Amino acid sequence: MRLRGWHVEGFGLLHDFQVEGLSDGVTVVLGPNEAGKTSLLAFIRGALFGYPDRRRRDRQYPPLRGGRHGGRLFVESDQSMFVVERFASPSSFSLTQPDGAVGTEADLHQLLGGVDAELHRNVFAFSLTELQEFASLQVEGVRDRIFAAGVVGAGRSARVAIGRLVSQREEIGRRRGDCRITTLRNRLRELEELLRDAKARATRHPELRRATDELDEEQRRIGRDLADARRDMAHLDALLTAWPDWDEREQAEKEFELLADVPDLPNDLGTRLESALADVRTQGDRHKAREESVFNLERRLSDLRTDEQVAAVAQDVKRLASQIGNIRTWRARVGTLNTQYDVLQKRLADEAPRLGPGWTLNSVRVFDASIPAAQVIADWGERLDESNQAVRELEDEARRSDSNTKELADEWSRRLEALKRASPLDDLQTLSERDAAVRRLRPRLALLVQVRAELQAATQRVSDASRRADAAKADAERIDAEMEQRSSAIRNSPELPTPDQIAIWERGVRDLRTALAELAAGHADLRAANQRALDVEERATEAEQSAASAAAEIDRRDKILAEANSVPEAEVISSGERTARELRRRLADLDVLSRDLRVAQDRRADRQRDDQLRAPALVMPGLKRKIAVAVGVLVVLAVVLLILSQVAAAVVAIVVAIAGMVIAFALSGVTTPAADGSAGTAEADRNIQELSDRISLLNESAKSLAAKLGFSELPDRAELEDTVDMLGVQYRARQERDREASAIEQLRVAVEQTRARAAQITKLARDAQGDNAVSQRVCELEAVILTNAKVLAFAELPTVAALEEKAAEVREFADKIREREMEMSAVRALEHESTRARNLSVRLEKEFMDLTSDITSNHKVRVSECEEATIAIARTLGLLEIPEPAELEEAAKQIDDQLRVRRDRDREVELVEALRRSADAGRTVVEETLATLATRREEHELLRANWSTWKASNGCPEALRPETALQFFASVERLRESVGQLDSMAAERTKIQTELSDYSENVFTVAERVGLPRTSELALAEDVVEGLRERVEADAGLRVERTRIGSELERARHALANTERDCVTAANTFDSVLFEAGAVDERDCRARIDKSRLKVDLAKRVQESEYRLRSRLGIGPQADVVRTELRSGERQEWDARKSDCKGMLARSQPLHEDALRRHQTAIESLSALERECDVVTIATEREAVVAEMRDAMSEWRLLAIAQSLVQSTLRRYEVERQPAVLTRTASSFSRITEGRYHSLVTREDGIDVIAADGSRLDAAALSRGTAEQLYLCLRLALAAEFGRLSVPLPFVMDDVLVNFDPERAKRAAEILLAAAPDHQILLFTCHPETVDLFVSLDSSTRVIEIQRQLRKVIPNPPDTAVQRS
Amino acid sequence: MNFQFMHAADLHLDTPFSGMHRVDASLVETLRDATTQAFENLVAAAIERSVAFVVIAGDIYDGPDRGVRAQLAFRNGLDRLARSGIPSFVVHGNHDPVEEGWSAVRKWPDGVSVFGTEEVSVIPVVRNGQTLALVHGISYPRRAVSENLALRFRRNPEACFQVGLLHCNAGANADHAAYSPCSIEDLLASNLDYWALGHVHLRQNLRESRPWIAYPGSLQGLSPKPSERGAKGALVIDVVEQLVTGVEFVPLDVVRFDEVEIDIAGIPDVIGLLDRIVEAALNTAEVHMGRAVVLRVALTGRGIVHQDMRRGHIRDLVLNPARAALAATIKTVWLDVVKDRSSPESDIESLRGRGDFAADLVETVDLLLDSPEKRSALIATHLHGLPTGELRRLLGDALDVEPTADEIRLALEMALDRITEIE
Repeated sequence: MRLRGWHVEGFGLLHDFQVEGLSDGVTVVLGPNEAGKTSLLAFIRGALFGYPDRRRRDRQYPPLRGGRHGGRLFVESDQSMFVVERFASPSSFSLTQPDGAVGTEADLHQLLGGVDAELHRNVFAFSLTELQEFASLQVEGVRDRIFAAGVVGAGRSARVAIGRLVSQREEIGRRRGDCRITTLRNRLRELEELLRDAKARATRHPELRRATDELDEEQRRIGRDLADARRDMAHLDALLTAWPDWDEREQAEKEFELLADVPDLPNDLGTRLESALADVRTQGDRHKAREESVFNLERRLSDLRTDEQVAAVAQDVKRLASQIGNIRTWRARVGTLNTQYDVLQKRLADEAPRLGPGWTLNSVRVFDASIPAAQVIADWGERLDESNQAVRELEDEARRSDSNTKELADEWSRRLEALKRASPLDDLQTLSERDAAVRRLRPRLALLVQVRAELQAATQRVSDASRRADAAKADAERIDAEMEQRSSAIRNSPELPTPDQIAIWERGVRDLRTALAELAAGHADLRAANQRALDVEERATEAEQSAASAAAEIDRRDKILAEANSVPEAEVISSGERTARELRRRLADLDVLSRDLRVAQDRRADRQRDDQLRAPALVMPGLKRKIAVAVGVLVVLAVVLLILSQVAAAVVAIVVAIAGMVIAFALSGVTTPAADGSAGTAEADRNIQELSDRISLLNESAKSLAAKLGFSELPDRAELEDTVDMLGVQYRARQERDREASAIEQLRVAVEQTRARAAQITKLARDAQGDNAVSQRVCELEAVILTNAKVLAFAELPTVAALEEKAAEVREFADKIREREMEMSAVRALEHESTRARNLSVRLEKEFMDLTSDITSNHKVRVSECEEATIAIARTLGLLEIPEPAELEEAAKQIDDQLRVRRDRDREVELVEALRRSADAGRTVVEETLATLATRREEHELLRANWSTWKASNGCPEALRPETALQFFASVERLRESVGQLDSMAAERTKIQTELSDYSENVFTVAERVGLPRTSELALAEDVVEGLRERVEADAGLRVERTRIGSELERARHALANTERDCVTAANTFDSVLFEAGAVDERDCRARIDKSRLKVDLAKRVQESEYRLRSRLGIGPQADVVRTELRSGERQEWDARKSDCKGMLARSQPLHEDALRRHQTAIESLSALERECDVVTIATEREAVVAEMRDAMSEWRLLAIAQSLVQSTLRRYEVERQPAVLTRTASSFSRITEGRYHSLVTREDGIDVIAADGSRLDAAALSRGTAEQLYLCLRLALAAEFGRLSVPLPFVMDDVLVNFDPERAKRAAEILLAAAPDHQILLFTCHPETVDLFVSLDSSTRVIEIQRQLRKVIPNPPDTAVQRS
Repeated sequence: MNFQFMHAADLHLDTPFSGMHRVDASLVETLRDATTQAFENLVAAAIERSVAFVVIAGDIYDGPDRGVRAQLAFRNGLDRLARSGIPSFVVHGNHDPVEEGWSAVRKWPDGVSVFGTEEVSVIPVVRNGQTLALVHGISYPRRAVSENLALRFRRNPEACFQVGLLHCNAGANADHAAYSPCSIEDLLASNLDYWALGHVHLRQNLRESRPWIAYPGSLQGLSPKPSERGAKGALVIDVVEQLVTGVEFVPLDVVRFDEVEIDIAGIPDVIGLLDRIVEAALNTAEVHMGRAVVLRVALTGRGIVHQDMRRGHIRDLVLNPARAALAATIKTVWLDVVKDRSSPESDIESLRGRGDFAADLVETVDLLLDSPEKRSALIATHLHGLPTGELRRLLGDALDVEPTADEIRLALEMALDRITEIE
């Protein structure tokens, strides 16, 4: 990269300071103090890498003389120009690339070969102060960048890689601080603690499980008792709930039995009776109303009269009336038309002559003004215009072509003359060949320089190898001595136990610690077990005492019970109660039946009285039927005799039959009441008899029941109730006594259970003491501990403190062993190191030999080969020896100039020829254009003549032009439209007058037909039509009304007939209902229906009761049991049992809940213990953590190995690359100091110089000037190495030679000038003698002078060496 | 008489799973109950198939710290078998020797026979008054039994099917400790009809004619090791006229371990890699038919995605996202680890000729591989940066071993990745 100039807008003292055209080589910027040289150096650094801001302590150089803070640099890279613009304000950076595109900081970074600000400041652009500090070269960034450039190519850094590897490794594991392995280790410790705890807790599991099982059994037992009690309760509930239904069913069944003889009638018979009666009444009313309606309609019809004459003309009148509106409109229209016609006719007569001479209305009517005609005229116009336009364009074209042709011919003549005057040149091929030779020669020269340097470097490496071999040998000896010293220290150290022994002790300590913890837990358990045993014994004693007191209570209550009065047994009392209830029911039934008997007897007496009042009629109702049968038989007999031709007998039979029929009809009117009365009496008698029988039966059974209760006769109701009350009292007493007996029995059972439980508890207590597993476990543990304790030299059971003391002792031993192991490991490492050092020494000696032979066999041969090849190419350019770079560049520049001129000349010749060809072509074009113009003019004249002819032939005026033709056509068209309007008016007027005349005639003809007088007045005709229309409408209304009433009358008559039929049907229905009920009249029928309904209701009650019973009890054996028990009817007993059950449930329920709760608690404790003792899960996680630690370890190892690999490689590079830089430095430094110091050696923290006498001197001890010379050489060498590997960058220095003596300053200048072809060099100075020094050594040195009063400066042109301003 | 019997071994009830990384909470319970559930499955299968008897060839528990839960589960299972009329025969092995550890079971149910340690006992299996088979067996008194117990077995003169029940290392299996070592010939010498062996966790038939000699393998896989992978269960042996006519493997395990390799060649990016892992997990779930699977994925081959994986830790880049993706799709597969054994797209050999730092890095590795001294020096200088005290207790001397060639190769790739990354 080269710096070609800058433009500083404002920076410190600098303002609007621009320099352009900086060339390669050395440029000296001369200026007095405060002229801005230091500012310029800062500006160049800042433009490339950014200006320092307020956060840094660096000087910021604000613009003191105005202008925007910053500016731009012009740089060249690979023969392309870039502009770097940067100002101090944020985001004001831009990089303009050769193609105009805008680049980024990254692009600039690439241009700079990846160099960063620090490296640039310390190596490539520095001031005197910076030159004096060796530390600036030791800054890690500089070292890294320099060596990284050598190590991994552009921009890579092995050190950064190492840093990242170390960071990753420490993230996983480090000696101190948080890391992944520490986290895992902590978790592991927690898990191991949990695991130990879980294992210790697990021992409680069997005991807890046993307790849980016992509690489970207890809660199950109480649960079973509860279930039994609930079952009893449900049974009693069922009995008590079912009892009302059961009782009701029993009652209903008895009542039903009393109505067994009542016939069953259909359910709907009552409804049907009511319906038939209602129907008979309704139909009668309806018949009467319809008869009245028919009469009224007939009367209204006869009142209506119509006109037949008017009806005949009705259609004609309607038609004429509908036309009246039109007739009136037409009459008005005729008047209007007459007026408009006259006005229009007069206007047209005036307008026609204006179109032209001889134009009339008829001319207008016949003229063709159609759109096609207008289009033809328009076509004529277009053709004429096109023709005219073509002629004009051709005229212009001819003029233009002529002018161009003349200009081309002039240009050709001028350039041809110039070519003829130009000097002769070599041909292009010759010049190209020479240029190629220059291009080949450049890399050859560079290669030659390189192989020469390599030869020199190889020589240096040989001496280095010799020195390093000696150093390696010395290192090996030093390491051997150290190893021996540390080994003897180990041998002399006191004896320690073996690691195996330590491991056994550690394991012993761990086991003992666990065992002691278990032993402590065992002791605790043992104490708890003893305590439990004591508790159990106490509980057993309490149970015994409780049983004894309960037994005493039983005896006491037994005595009381025995002393109580005797009460009949419950069954006896219940039986008495049942008998009393039954007797009560029988007595009630007897009362009912007696009442019914009395009613029946009263009815029978009434009926007998009625029969006596209607005495004559005693014919039985069946006689009528018998007579009818006899008549029928006689008729059949007569028919048979007729068939047999015995006419006389047949006649007799017929006479007898007729007589029978007459008698029967006569009887039918008078005999029915008598027959009915006889039948009713017989029925009443039967009823009375039945009631009497049932009363006697009931009486007998009641007496039997009364006897059971101790009555000799049937008791009255009060006696019976007293007996029932007495039985109730006995029953309750019996219940009380039974409950007491039952309670005593329960107490007795409870005492037995308590005693058994006490025995069981006592046994448990004995077991707890006798079979004490905990105690056994404690003994076992103690034995184990004693065994293990011997391993740790304990004579008896150790205490925890003693154990921990022992553990500390073991840990101390373990630490000492580890220290010794580390020491031994270090000794082994020293052994390896020693071996490595010896191997290195051998390898270095071999390397020395190899390098020596390499110099003679490779490098020298390569140098001579390279020189020969270079000379061969140089000869093609006419050079006899290897040219200097400047000489070669001069020749290359001349060849470039000649090539450029040659190419320009060839392009000019081609241009002149092209001009000539263009001028010839122009002349031809002009001639062709003129010929075409003449032809087009002739065609135009012919077209105009044809247009005139067409106008004449189509009746158009001669003066008519296409553009005005459309206007003429429009005038004609408007006039013709008016003429057409006039003609249509005349036609319309005639048509209307004809229509009006026809209408009048029609009207009067119709008027005559209805007898009206005839007239010819049109206005009268309209009145006539109106009158006729009114008459026609009135007649039509009358006719419609007649028709409607006729239809209505027909319908009324038909309805009347239907009503008559309905009346007959209703009467029949009523009769059929009476017949079905077997009743004689409506009242009788109603009584029969009521009884039947009562019977049905009773059956339904029985069914419903049974249904409810079933729904309550269900069906099956249990339901049967309940039903059987219900038959006993012992409701009070059930109540008492239910009360007992309720008490039992109330007592047991809390016991059961308590048992359940305790069982649940035990289960939860067991589950909690199982969770806490989840050894598997904890152990699995422990294994997982160990696996993760193992993985982390592997990863850590990999990172460590990777780090080691990079570090080893980097060390090798630093060893192998460093000499190249130092060699270069030593060469320059030796030259400056005239061989006083000939070589350099690096240390970790500095550099030593080797003097000519072989002495070694720290660079920091050199004089100020000499040290600055060394550091300048070092920077030049670093820059050269960087340039070789990446990009050569400009070398900018601010007054760095001030401390050099004149001789050394001269030699430094020579070195800088020698480096200038590779690195552009800018030297800022305030000493004119420095300028003189450089100019005297190289006259091509550019000098830029700046003054304190700044202004724009243009550097001197290339051919002027120095320009002062 | 024809019948079937079941042969199981190495139940390792309530043994912690090892070698896995920590798992999701949803899997903890499944893992905890896996061994006992597998034993429950064994009992259910035996009852369902109405086998004549069940033999269990040792290592019922994992060590002397046998848990109450495991012992109860074992006792209850055998009790269920006994109540179903299926006798069971048990020997103890090196993991649960009779004289070490403690027993929560004072009395075994009727129909359960636990063999003693003094001598080989012979117990008949009787059905309908007729001897169906004789089972010979002996338990380990202590963990380390070096005696060849197979030599103590001798066929009984009674003419019926005879089974030898033994926990041993037959045929010198190098992957397992040499407890009661014996050869196939030793087993043949006893002239029994079937050898029901235990100790080797990988299922294998050592001989498939009379006498049939078989290891059923562990009942439930216990770690991601190759021998513990795949289906685990018991054997059902068909006996027809005193001859073994077929041996059927019945899978009874609850959790399975599996490992799949994914070649990263052609995988464009990390998302593509995640897709491939999920696809592999789906296939695995299908293969194991809905069982819980602990899956390990090994990435192999060369590909561009290798470089992507170097941008962060594989746990964050691949493992956790893949777990999240699986949690949303197949809950039966737990992704334990993703091991990256892949290589960069370009071959390391191609770096040798480049003459840059990478080439010299490769050369450094060559020197290291050629020189044991350099490797030792590497340990001394670089591998001692850890708090090693407790690590050594847990991991042994894994820290001090010399780097293997594989490790050095992986480290080289890691170093090259870092260098390239910085570039």
